Amino acid sequence: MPALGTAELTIQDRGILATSASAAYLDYFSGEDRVVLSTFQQPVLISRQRKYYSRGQMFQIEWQDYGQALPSWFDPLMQGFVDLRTLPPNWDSYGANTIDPKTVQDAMNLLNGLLGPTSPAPRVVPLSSGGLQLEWHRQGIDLEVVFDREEQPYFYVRNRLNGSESEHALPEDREPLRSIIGTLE
Amino acid sequence: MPSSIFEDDPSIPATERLFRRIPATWVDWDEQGNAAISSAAFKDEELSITIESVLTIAGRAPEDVIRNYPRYGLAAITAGHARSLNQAVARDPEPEEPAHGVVYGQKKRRGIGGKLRDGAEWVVRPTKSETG
Repeated sequence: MPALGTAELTIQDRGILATSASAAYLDYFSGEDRVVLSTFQQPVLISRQRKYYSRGQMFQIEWQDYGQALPSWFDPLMQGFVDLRTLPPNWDSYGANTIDPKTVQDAMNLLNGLLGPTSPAPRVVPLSSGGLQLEWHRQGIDLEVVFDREEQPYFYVRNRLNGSESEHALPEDREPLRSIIGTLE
Repeated sequence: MPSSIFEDDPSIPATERLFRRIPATWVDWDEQGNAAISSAAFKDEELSITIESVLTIAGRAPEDVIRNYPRYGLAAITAGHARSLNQAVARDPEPEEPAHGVVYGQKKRRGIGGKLRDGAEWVVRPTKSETG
């Protein structure tokens, strides 16, 4: 096994990942659970970390939360983002740009709180332009959320069963996106 | 921004196959081992392709397009399919690839990239073990 280099995410990245990780399930750390906890049973924040490997580099993500189980989408999503960060120039053989870290940050910011604990994980797919798209193909629905350089994010949804399709600007249409993701579970 | 604007070349017949290399990062494997191509593979406004008939005249097989790209699959769409989605199909020979061509037009919006992908078929299907 080749020696691994270490490439930690930037502080800003880690902050976003931590927010994405903890907020997503803190949102679903149910209100009922909170109510039944007495003042002597308040949850305690703990430090957590997770490592991801991609093309000979290690990325370490650290955050604080209450020790909840990670949602099933967490690892594939983080691995997908890390894999984008290690793509070399010309990764598509047609002169593709490396992936712009800002598009990764924008995607993580949007997903923060958008995915529920049982949401299916999207595929994280690079664009030759240096952007990325998140894809779900389930229940006869094709859903793509696109973050491209110097363009407003948007999502495109197509129902393969009835042929309908539509395109929506983000973040304005964040709630319709959340609703569609909910139908994919 | 694209560096050129290409006009459709009517000498390229609708049945002409246009090849596109597909890196592993654009392939999604399902539980049955089927390899699906992401629409991202077909979203460049100036989409590089290789024109089959030019390869054939030169005595080259389609597999030659990925000869130096061992981790890639090779997919094909037809010129007619591209044109049905308001794309121009043009020759754009390059010194290192005389069969190079371009499918030119807007593909990022209105699902055009995905619809181009829907018309693609594998010429050389990557195997899952090769995608790493």
